[in-house]
Amino acid sequence: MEEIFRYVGTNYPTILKLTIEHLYLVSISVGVAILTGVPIGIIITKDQKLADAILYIASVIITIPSVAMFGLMIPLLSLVNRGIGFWPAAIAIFLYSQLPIIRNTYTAIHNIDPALREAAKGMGMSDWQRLAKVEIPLAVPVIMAGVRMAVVMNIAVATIAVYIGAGGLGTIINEGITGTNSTKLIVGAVAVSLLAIIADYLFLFIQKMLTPKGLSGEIS
Amino acid sequence: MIRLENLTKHFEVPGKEPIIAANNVSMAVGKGEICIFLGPSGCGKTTALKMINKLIPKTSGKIYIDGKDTDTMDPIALRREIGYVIQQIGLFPNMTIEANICVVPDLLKMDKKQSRKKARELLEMVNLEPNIFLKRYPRELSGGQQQRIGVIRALAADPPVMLMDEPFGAIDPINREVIQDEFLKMNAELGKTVLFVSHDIDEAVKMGDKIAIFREGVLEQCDTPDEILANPANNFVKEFVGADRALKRLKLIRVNEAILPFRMAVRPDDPLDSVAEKMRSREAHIAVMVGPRGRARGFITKEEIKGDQSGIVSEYIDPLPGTIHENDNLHDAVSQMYSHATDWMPVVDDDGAYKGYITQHIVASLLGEVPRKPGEKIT
Repeated sequence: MEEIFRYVGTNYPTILKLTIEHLYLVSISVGVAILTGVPIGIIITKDQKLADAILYIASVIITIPSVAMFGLMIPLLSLVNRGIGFWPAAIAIFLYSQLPIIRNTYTAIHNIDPALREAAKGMGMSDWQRLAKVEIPLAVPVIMAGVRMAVVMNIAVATIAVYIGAGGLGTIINEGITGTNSTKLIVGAVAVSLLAIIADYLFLFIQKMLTPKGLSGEIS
Repeated sequence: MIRLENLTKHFEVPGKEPIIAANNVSMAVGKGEICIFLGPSGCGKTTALKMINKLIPKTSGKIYIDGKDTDTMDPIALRREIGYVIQQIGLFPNMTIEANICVVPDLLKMDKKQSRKKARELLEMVNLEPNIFLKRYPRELSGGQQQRIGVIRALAADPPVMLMDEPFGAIDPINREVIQDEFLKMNAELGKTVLFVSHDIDEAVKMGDKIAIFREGVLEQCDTPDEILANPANNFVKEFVGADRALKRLKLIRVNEAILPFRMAVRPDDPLDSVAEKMRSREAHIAVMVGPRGRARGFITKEEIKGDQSGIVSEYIDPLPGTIHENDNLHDAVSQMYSHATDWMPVVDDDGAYKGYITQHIVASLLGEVPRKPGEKIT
C-alpha cells in the first residue's frame, strides 16, 4: 500500500500526462463519432432496410476484440504511413463508438410518438423544423445515454491502445505487466477505473442537464 | 368556403386491387359552418379530411379553400393556414403550454408579444387560468385539459379553417360534453369553418351544422342533422343513425319551438264558466293559472269543470307537474314528462314567467317524417 502512494507521489506528473493523453484519445474519437453517428442514426429512421443494414454492420464492428481491431488498423493505416500511434487507436475507438450512438439515436427518433410527428406535420413544420424543435430535443436524453456508454466503454478500450503506441494510461499497466511490477499494475488499473467512473457520472449529469424540463421528473 | 370536387383516393396495395378510400366525393361547406364527417371506421372520413391539408396526397379531384385551388399552394404554407387537431392531441412534451400554443404563430414569424397575449386570451376562453398554465408542461395536465390546449393551439394563428380528427374521442364522456359545449360556444364567437371527423352520431347531431355520412369512400348523404335524421337517403344512413333517430331529433328542437300557439293562461279569480268557454273554443284540455307576476301557479283540466261552473279558478286548482325552460331541448322535456308521469309540461322563461305549454301529442306530431326549417312553428 505504502509503495503505491510513494509511486503516485513521485510519478504524478507522468500519471497526469498519461491521463490527459488517454482522455484526449477518447474524447476526440467519441466526439467525431457523435458528429457522424447522430446524423446516421437520424437518416436511417427514414429507411427500414438501410437501418437494418447499418445497425448490423455496427454490431459486427463492436464484436471485434479490441486487440484484433488495433491489429487490423496497423496494416490498413500503414498504407498512409500512420500504422502506429494516435491515428489507428483513434479510428478504432471511433468505430467502436458508432453502435451505441447510432443505435440510441435511431431508437430515440424511431420511438417518438407518431402523434407528435403528425401534429408537427399537420401544423406546418418542415422536416427540418420538426427535427430541430421536436424530435431531437426529445431524443437527446437517449442519445446522450449512448454517448455515455461509448465514452465509458472506450476508456477501457483505449488502455489496449498502448500496444500500438498510442500511449495513455495503458502505458503504466503495460510496464507493470512486462516488469512484473504489481504497484504499477495496480496504479494503472485504478486510474483507468476511476477515470471511467468519473466519466460515467459526468455524462449522467450532462444527460440530465440536456433532458427537456417537460420530460424530467423535477418540475414544479 | 371549402369545396371538394370529385375527390378520389386510391391506396395502392401490391398484388391486389387498390383500396378506394375516397370515391368521387363532392361537397361544399359554407363559411362558419361546422361539418361533421361521420361514418364507421374505414369509411374514408379521416382520409378525406387529411387530403385537405395534404397530409395524404389525393389521387384526383380538386379541393378549393375560399375559392383557391389548393393544388397551387405549398403544403407547408397551406397547413399553417389551417388549424389541425387530432385525437391523440400531440402536444409537444418538451415545450411549455405557452410554447405549444405559439407553435404556428412562431412558424409564421408573427410578433411574439402579440402571440403570447393571444395565448393568454385563448386559455381564458377554455377556462384555464393563464398564470397557472402558461409555464406548465403538457404532462402536468389532465387529458381534458390537454385537449383544450390542443384545440386552442390550432386556433392560435387565427386560421379561417379548422380540421379536427376525432378531437374529443379519447376524452371521458363527462368531460367530452363540457368540451363540446365550450367549443360550440367558442366557435359561435370565432366563426371558424370546421371540418370535424367523428364516428359518434350523437356528437355529430350535437356539434354539426351539417353532417356528411361516408361509407367505403362514398359520400352517402350530406345535409343538416335534422334532414339526415328525418329523411335518411338510404338504408345505410338509416341504420347508421340508429333506430332511435326520431328521439335524436328531439335534441335538435328547442322547447319554445314546440310550444302550443295559445297560452291558456287564466287568473285565480276568473269565473269557471268563462274558462270553460275558452277551453272549448281552443279545444284545449288544460288551462294554467298565472299569478300576479306572470308565474305559473297551478292548473285546471276540462274534466274538473265539466259539471258545476259557478265557482272561480282558484277553487279547483291542481299543483303543477313541474316546469321546463323554453331554451331546453325537447329531449329533456320529454324525459321530464316521463319522470313526472304527465303528458304535458308548462314552459317558463329565465324569470320563471309562464310562456305556454307543450304536450306529448305535439312532440309526437313534430317527429313526423317532414323536416322543419329552423325556427318554424307548429300550429
